[in-house]
Amino acid sequence: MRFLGPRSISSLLKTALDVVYYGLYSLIAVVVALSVCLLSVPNLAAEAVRRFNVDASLSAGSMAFMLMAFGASLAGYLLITHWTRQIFRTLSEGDVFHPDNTIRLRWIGFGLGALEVFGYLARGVASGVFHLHFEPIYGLRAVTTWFAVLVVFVLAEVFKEGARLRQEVDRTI
Amino acid sequence: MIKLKLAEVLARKRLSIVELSDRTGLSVRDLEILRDQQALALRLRTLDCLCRALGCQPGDLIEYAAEDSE
Repeated sequence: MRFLGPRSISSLLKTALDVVYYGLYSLIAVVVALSVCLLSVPNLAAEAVRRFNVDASLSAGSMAFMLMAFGASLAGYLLITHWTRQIFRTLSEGDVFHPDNTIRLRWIGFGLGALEVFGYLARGVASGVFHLHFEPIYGLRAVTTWFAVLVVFVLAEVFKEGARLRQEVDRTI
Repeated sequence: MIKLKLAEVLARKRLSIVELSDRTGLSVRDLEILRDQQALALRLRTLDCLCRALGCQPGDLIEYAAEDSE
């Protein structure tokens, strides 16, 4: 099976990304609805903690705040998925070095970096303010995202050069 | 900058782009790119086709013009 063009692996992956994209939309809607419910329905937080046997002593406001932070990170993933879908759309059309793919890849790189920084901040706030504890991440796993960001930026430059070469070929008679 | 004088040669020879396309086998779109000075590069093979079809020398089709400093 070929990788580019219609009915190829890239069009299959684009369909999979479409499912993830709309799934994320639904998840964000659920998270926002839950946080609104936590704030507006009295005793919901306490009831949820009791029902699910969660060992937590957080107020409804704190829970809603954490849910909103989770929703914000999901929105970040949604944006990254959106740009990735756009890239895969060009791949499934067989148009690899589309000029817009460079900027899309750069945005994906910035998005991944921003999400990682947001994760550090969220963990800091959760442990500092809400006294929640997280398993620390050591070794290469701690820098995996930064490697990914680096690779995405390098890939953006490759696509930029590819787009330039394609334009040159198009205008070589 | 290098300037292609295809429009001038075509006018002098009283030829249309479509007729030149028929003679050379180059597409009308490619010839329009050449005529409108949009081309970034010109293959020797293309130049050969054009010179043969138009009965001219490469120098009749290409000229160097110094760019304005403004």
